[in-house]
Amino acid sequence: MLRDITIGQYYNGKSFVHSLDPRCKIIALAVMMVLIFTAHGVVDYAFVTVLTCLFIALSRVPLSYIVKGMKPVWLIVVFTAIINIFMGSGEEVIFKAWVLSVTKEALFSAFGMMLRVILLVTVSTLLTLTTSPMVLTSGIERLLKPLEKIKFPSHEVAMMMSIALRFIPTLTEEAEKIMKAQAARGNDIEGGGFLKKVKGMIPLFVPLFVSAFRRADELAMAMECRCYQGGSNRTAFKRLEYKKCDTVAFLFMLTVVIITVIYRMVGFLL
Amino acid sequence: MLIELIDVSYTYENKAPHERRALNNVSFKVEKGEVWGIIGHTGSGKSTLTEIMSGLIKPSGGEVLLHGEDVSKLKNPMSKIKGKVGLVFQYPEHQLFEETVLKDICFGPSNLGLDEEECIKRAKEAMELVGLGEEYATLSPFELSGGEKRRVAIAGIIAMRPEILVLDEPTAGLDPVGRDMLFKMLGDIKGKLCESIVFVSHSMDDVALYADKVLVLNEGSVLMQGSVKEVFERSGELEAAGLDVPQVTRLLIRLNEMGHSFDKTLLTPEAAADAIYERLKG
Repeated sequence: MLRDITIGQYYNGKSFVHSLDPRCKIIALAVMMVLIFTAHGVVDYAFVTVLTCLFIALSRVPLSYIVKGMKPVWLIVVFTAIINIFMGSGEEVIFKAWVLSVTKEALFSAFGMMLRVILLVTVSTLLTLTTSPMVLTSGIERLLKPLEKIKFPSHEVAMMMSIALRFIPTLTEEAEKIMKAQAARGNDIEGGGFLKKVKGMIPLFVPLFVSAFRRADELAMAMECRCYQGGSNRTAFKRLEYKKCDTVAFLFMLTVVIITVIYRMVGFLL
Repeated sequence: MLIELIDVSYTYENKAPHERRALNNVSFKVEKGEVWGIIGHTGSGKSTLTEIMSGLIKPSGGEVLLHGEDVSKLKNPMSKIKGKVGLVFQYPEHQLFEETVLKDICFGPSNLGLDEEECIKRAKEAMELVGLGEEYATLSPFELSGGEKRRVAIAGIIAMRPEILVLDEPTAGLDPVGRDMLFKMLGDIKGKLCESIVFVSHSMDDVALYADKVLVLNEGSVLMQGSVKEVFERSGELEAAGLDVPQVTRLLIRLNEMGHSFDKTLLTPEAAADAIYERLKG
């Protein structure tokens, strides 16, 4: 069950998206996020959905893999939808009961919200699925480099992020193991009321935290043993280089942005 | 018979993309008083087998009989198996969480629904069996050494008084002295609390010395099973599967190849040494 979390995992494969430069993919992700957030109206939604589907197709990551990654966010998606359905305002009332009423506008906005969350998670998952953590870090580091002028520790931040990403699968595996070990001692988190469930979590969280600290300690030691020293004057083993496909991707994203801006300007002016 | 597995199979992740058969029609049974050693490569299904025996996971196919009753089809096999089969995981010291050693050992028994007095009684008995003195009771489990932590964790399981104690690689990360102590301790436990012991191991020598019966797993299937002598007699097959034979057996086989005729089913270094000594004397 915990194993199903695919956020932060890398899907080893060969595809157009895999071969892109991480900087290119991060920028594309940022653009996509803005597009998804600002989308409203049927055409906008359809456009970002088609784009996302196109990216999935290009990445050749099996759809089942991405769908499984959605599992942990389902609750949030459904929750946002429900809130939006009942809290939205509008004129055309479809359904009314007690103080709750559902309007056509609210229904549409709830659908939009759901779609947005799903697409956001999908595109961000796609980034980590198609980019190995090491490459992703160097991409982030390179993008944050300009901020070093104002003493921003870009290398350290990127390193922290990549370590955090790297440890998600490790810690979920560990959590699963501890869960089983405590279940073997009769710990029961499935049954019982809320209080009992919370109490059942203590035997899971204490060992998990202890092991997380232990791992952090060991990692720090291992890094120091190899004379790791922050970001000053570090060179990279694999240097990032823009290739032809990155230019293609950039031009594509640029076209997408221009089309969107023009479409929205037109819509605004009319 | 305590527990019997009939044609048990297990498949990880029933859906794509990572389908993997961990166990394939495994059958074996543990009788009262037996010590079983399970050996096999990494990924041969040893750990999965221990989890099925203790009811943590349900087999995809086959039956698990506990005292003759099939528990594998129950909605929650744990409820029936709880306390009857005790599973000690690999590196069990990572599961400790309470403030004191005594409280941690009491966790298992208290989950069986026993009252506080009985829990403490059982915990103290378990501590004595694993060789932890009274003075450990009030210490935090996190201040102990690795070996002591492991003993606390094992005590936490045996305090539930399981009929069968299952241990997954109990000697992982221990030095030879710690290993000997652990097996001596298991011998004590078997005499006093548990009726049978099943342990998973990488080391053929441990299995040869401490187990009565051996189950050899290879890629999820049973390669062979039987008494220690029966299994190690078939050293050729073991080696063909890429598994070792005990060092003693290897020595005796080598001597036999050189033209001597030793009984290669001698399993302890002492017995082999005696036999060789006798031969040398004349």
